[in-house]
Amino acid sequence: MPVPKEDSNKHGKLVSPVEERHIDYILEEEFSVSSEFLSFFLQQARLNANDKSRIVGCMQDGECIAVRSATTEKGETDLLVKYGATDRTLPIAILIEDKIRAGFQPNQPKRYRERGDGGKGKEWSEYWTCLVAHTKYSTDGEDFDAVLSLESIQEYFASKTDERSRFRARILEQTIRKYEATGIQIIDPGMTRFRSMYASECARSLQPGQWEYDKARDAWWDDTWFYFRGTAWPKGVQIRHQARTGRIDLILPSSDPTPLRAVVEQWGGLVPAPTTAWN
Amino acid sequence: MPKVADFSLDAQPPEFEQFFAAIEFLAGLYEKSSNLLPEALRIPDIQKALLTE
Repeated sequence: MPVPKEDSNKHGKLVSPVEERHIDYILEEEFSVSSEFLSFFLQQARLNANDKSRIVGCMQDGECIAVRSATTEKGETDLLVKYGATDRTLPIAILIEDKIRAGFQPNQPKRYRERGDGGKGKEWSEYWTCLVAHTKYSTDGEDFDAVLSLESIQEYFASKTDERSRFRARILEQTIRKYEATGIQIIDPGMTRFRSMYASECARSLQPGQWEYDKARDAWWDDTWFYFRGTAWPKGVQIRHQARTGRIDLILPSSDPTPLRAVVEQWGGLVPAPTTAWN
Repeated sequence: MPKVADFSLDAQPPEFEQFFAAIEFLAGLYEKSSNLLPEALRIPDIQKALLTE
């Protein structure tokens, strides 16, 4: 079964598929506007920090700035938070990595620390690194100064009564469910190579401009389904090749198999009976 | 369709031509039968004309 791209809320309405950047946006805004959230975050971080002295506190009314995708020559930080600056002192920085399903890149916690060291004394006086992820996420989280669970942040928003916070709680709940349904996606070099090879063969063998197909990308174990779409085809019509099983399907977005019978009749034994496995 | 059993780094590439032959067969079948399907699943006539050119 393909992973559904959409989910339903309690009212039965469709909601957007959740991605890592949703968490970045939620945290960016909350750090920027709510000193209460910063206090909550510091408190939670201290609960499980390896070295609690690294989680430096600040005055309640200090300014807090959050920047998404802060990039230096040493790589990208999902969310950089600076707080506690005064007229005479540099701020303290939190370098946050958000994870929903993706595995760690090589040395990722170490590179966060290198970026922290790189800014120390110039952009911030002290820093700490933090992983925000599901409680069951990889133990590599130990290499961050602190780990905050998605569940604790979800509970923070769920405890509020305003609609905006409730909406955020739902996004986080969806994120938690997504992790629990699918687990971590650890990049598999063999599968990544295979997908890259497949994409190159598509570029070489399929008529240019007539097809849309999966581009080369990082892949994980058993990431063996490949999708093809004619550029002239209506939305939702596609071919799926399941490389491991050798199965190939024409997918038509219809819940009613009746009209497809005409196709089966026209092509006789060439075409198997239609199924409604997922559409 | 042949199954791919080994996706490791040192695996031999599979017979991609067989994959593409099957994909193009299925695509041809859909394109030739599209007029039998409900409108939402049909290839628009103008696009079909381009395909047959």
